[in-house]
Amino acid sequence: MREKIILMLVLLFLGVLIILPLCVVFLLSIVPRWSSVFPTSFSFEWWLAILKPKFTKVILNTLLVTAVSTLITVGYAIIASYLFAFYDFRGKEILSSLILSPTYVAGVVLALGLLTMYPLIRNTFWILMLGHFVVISPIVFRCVLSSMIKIPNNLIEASYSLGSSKANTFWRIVLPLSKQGILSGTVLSIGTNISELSVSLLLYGAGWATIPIQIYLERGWGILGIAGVLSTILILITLTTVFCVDYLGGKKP
Amino acid sequence: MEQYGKYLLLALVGVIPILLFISPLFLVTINSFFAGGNFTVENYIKFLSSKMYLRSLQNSILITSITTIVIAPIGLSIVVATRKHEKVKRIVKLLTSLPLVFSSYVFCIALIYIYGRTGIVNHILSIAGLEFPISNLLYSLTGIIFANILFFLPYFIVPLFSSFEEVNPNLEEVAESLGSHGFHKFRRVIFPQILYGLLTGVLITFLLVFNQISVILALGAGRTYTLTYQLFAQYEGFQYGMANTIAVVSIAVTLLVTIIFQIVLKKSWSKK
Amino acid sequence: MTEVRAENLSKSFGDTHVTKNLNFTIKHQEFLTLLGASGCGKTTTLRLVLGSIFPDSGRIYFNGEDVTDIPCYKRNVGIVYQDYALFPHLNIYENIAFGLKVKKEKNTESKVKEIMETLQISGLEERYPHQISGGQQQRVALARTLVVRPKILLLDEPLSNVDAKLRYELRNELKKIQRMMKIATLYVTHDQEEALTISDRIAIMNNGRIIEVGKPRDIYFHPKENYTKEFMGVISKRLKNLEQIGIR
Repeated sequence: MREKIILMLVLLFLGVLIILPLCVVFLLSIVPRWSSVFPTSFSFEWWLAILKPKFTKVILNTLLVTAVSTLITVGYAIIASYLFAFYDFRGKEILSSLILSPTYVAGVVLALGLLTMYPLIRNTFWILMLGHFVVISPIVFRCVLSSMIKIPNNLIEASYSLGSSKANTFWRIVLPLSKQGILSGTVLSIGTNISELSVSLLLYGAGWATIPIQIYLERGWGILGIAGVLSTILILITLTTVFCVDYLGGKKP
Repeated sequence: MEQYGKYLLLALVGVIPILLFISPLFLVTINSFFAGGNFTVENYIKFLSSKMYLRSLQNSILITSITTIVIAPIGLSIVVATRKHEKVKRIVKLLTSLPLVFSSYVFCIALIYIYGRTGIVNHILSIAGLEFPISNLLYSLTGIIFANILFFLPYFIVPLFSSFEEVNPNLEEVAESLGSHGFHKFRRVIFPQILYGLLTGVLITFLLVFNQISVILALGAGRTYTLTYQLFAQYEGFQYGMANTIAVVSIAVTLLVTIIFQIVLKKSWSKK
Repeated sequence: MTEVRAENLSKSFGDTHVTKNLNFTIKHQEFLTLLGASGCGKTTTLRLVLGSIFPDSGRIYFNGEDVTDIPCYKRNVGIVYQDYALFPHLNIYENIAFGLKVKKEKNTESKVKEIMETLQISGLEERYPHQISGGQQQRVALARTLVVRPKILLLDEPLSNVDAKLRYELRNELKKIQRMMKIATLYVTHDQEEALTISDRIAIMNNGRIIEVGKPRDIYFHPKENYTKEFMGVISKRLKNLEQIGIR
């Protein structure tokens, strides 16, 4: 009985601390002016304001960067995981640390590095994309590798013994069996890409603002309604992705 | 032929982190030793003699340390309390992961509406006649630490759940059959097993908190500065020399902390 | 010194009925084996007697005393697992002394020394579990359990992970030790040969129920139930010479 009370308390505690802010974020999007403590009137004017070209561009930017970055990151993660799961070579540990290290370095530092080394692509889409890639690749790599490494070597050997080429084995055996890791990696990538701020802050050029950047700018100008709407959109996209992938991943092989 | 394919893959995979991570940071480090085209350590001297920069460094370390020191026992307690109850565990994991769905920046904005100067909590308190210093608390170190804790809790809790799950259940049963239970069992049997995972979680949390900027941007601007924020500010102000220097200092701290932890981790690994 | 009686034990996990109205007795100093295929509920039965899980219905008695609601750590039941479950962060001495330290008993050192001598593992005190052999690990696991004088000893397929030659030796040792310590023992296995050689009585289990109970000789030569015939028949088809397996 005492246990149940403790559990309830833990849930309540977490619930209040975490759910409350989330509700506020949503409220922000439907309150025209939140000047006093509690919102007094509600309207959807901010949602309509979003339709202005300035903001639709931001949303499209975000989707574009996310899509391209996820594609490249997941592609890289698959190739790298394949290498690590099925081959041995000197320096394996070092390479692994290299790929995983960006997580432990500040986003702004990574951005600075890229800006210093590739000044020619400053203010373009490409440097923004590279920044996202560097930040997200460790996470996706870890995810895909953990799935791929569980494939027993016997299966691969059996496939070769039956005459299948390396490429064919990769396509028909390795990939399908790592589906779980690839899907979760994709979800993680999309979720993190969409809400990425620290690297983007230094890397975005004129006209390439993403949703989080725009939120930051809007707040600076004191207009939080837009921030609320954009944030709500962020959540919706992420949740939709999670559900879609869940549904797709749920199909039995 | 076989080897050919392997090394091709290796080159392909290996060249990416070198191009996008190692070389850029290496370049940044070299740049920090140059000012006006000459090799010099004047950037570092400027850093070490400036109250503002030292303050930022101090803030970064202070905020991160306190955040980590608070998250560890809270996270550990939550995990210990809920680890045997599957349904609650899933809810806890979900709940604590929610802030991640938002960028921490957005989350902090929401916090401002609740705990800020003109926020809900303050409003309620003033109605009750209590004049707490809570009005400015959110924007100070305390507020930042508070937001950090809320936001980084999942990074600590989720791996910790895994560590606990990896403990051989037979060990617990055997311990109980020998009369051990509750706190004694935890202290003598379970804790030594999860210690390695716990310490790894602490290290990762420390590094993540130290390196983040979003929370500072949301809550601290104008008042509290950290290393990462300074880098941002210097860069926006075209002070590239200093920006490089700050970057190097930040990396140095990260490396130092990691090395210290690795030494401690080696010691606890032998116990498994 | 202890007799165990299980009455109508039923346990379900979710929708699955793992044990259904189980009834059995382990007499004073008896070696009773639960024999059955994987998934028949024998390990669950073991854990019910251990006290790590509680039955949905039914009672368990130790010497007539109802222990059903008493939690595991108060029942004083010993258990040895297939993987021995030695505490990896403690050395052999500390492992064996663990139960004594919990109960804050006196003369810990001499008791530990004594049991180690009995089981022929003296000299290993400072070593760690990963540094000793499988056979030694099993003896340490036994020592750890027996040194606190449990009321009954539970063995969960302790020989399944062991190779054939060692299995034969360890099997005989287990029996010897059990006789020496005069302790009622519940042994779980899926290996018919093992059960036939080592037990005083065998209880054949299938699908959560006990099909038949009897002495090894009776089970083998005069099986009453069809399932028993089928289950034990696997051996008789393989072996022609009865002396080969030394049925008791």
